[in-house]
Amino acid sequence: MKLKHAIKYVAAPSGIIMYLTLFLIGIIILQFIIPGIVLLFTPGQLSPGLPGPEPTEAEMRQQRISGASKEFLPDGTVHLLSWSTTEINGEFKSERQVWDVNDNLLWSGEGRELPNEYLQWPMHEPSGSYREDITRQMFSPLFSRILMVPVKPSEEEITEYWRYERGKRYFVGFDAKGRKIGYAGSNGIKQFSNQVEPFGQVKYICSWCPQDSYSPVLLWQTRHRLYKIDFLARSVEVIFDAQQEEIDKILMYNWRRIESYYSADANYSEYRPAMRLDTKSGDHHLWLRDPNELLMFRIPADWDPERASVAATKDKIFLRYYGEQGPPQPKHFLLQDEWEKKYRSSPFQEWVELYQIERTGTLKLINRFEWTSPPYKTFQSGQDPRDRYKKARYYVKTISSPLLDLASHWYYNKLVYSDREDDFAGFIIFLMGEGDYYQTTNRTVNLAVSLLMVCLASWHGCSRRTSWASFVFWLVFVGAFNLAGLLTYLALMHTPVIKCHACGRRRGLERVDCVWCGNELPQPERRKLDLVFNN
Amino acid sequence: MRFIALVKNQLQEILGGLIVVVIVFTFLSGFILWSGIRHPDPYHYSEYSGITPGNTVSFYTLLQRPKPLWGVGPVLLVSAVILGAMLASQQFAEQQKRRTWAFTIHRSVSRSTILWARFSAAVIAFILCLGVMWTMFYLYVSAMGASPCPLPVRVLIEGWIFILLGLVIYFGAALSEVSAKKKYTTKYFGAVFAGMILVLALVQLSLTLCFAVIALALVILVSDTMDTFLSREF
Repeated sequence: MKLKHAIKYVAAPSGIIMYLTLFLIGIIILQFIIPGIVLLFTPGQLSPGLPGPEPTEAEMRQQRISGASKEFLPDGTVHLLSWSTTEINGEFKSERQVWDVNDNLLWSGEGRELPNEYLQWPMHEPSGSYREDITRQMFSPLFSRILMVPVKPSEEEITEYWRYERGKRYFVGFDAKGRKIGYAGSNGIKQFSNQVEPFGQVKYICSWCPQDSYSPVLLWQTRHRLYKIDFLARSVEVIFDAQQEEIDKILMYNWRRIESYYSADANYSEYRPAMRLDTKSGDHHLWLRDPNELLMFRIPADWDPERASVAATKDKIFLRYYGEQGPPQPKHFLLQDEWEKKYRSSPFQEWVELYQIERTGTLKLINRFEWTSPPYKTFQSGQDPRDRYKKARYYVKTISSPLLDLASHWYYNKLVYSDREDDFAGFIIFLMGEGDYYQTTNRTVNLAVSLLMVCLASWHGCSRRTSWASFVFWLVFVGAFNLAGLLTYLALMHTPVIKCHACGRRRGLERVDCVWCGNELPQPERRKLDLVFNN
Repeated sequence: MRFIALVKNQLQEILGGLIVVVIVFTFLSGFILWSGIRHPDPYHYSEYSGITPGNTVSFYTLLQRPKPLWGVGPVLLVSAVILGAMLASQQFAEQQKRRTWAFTIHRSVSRSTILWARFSAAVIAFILCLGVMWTMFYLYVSAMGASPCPLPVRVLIEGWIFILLGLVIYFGAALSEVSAKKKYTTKYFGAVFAGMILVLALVQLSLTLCFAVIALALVILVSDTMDTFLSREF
């Protein structure tokens, strides 16, 4: 087979991939730009609707209770704390108000002068990084980053660097002159690489400096274990081993004693550092320090673990849980509107409960406060500023590829219900869910437009076809990729047509015989000099 | 023999441009490295200065760029892109402009040999111009201990990826130049596609994926260029 013919087999699909990719990207870009332009340049419509009626006294009370923070005294008493703004001589002044559960005002004044000390619920959001940031870095023209932990005995001195080897999953240590000093893995710090065992796939990392040190300490979570790595002390300590179970989430309560992150009036020294480790099987392990203590507790199966907070005082361990009526909000955007209409379009119940976690791990209810929250504010049709954007997107989305839409939808589903919490997953979920990319797709119209493109391709290709197989392939291709498919088809398959000398119908020049009547192209008439040229 | 002669001929034709690119790349990169190495302690007081007792250490503080080599990265990428565009211009656009294709392809070598000779000359140019220089810079920085700890091999590989991206640009531009399509239709799709691959390769989360993207792009562009060139009438 000649190269010229062999290369055709590769070049044909290559050309299709190249043109299709470019057209798809171009169309997606236009689908984002056009609604934005419409939103910018269409006048009117953004005027606010008529103001609603003044809220009644009962509604205002409901709003105040709903908006107030519910705080517990150590004995379990609930107080409602809210802010009130008053205007005195043209100046606005905010003051803290403390209400009891019967809506009696107990106290008002400066926020710092609160008469009671309420239970504090230290920040429990993890402030580390997930594995995607570490093991699957994007690289830029400045090259990808290297995870290097310095060992700093003092502020101005670095004596060692420990570099994480992504492929091998352990650290390699170097001294200040760049000489290897050891390896750090799950079995501790070793001198040679064949002695060290890898950590396993990292899931979460958090680092901080102890109060008296300039050297970072790492919390290194893998699927089943949590390690504390202190390179200055040359130690790799297993803090928690879930054995066969998988660690799902880590929440820290006052673990690192970083007062700057908390509000100034919180007295965190009264609380023990605590770390909650949730496993995928639903167990919750609580690791307490000062003194060291490990206990396990379980919460009811219908609770959302993220709504539970833990505070460990010197004497007791408390758990606060916020509950609300109805099932939890679904993750998938297509189900969220329906959920809001069904469960949040009318006033709904919310409650907060305070439990004491016993040393045996059982929960003992101390107090509960329940209130009615106003319904979610929903825009009437035409009032939502996003309506015009949605309408424009509705029209431009009709030229999307049905196949690509299905693939994107599948990917979105996969991401939404996965454990991925990295920036990339968040961006895709935002783009396709909260960014309304999908909400305005009308599948019926989209398929109808695809069918129209197929008809156009059929009309164009019928007289130009070289074989039925190729013709049918292109029709299916255009149907699957809509406008991008049609443009790809035209870019690759457009050829001039002539009128057939036998049947008079239009025919392509890619094959010798006419696609309609089968007659070959006419031979040019023999002229006098042809004999000379042919010989 | 004819093939080698053609490659030599191509290298002679593009020699001027290659020398300019080598000089500019070496000068700029050398200056960046020199100014990086001049500071004896590139890590201690900049990125790691935020590490103080009792505080959280931001994860990005611990993620370090491979100093002092990181500054060479943008220069290498831009040089590779410029070299790719320049080679495609010299090898294809010039001939198109002067309408000398008919003369070139009537020689006693096949069209594919002519094309492969040009591609080979381009690959050699990339290796000699940028590949060798980049590897030398890497080895120099590693050998003299300018980095706080030895640079991982990944940095070297990423540099070679930039060079490969230059090659992608070259093939994209070459495809655009040999295409017989009208300028206002799809003539420049090859170059646009190569540009898109450049962005796509850099946002990949792993080197394997990055290599896969580049390999796919090279297969697409090379096969399309060959098909277009072999079937085109000049």
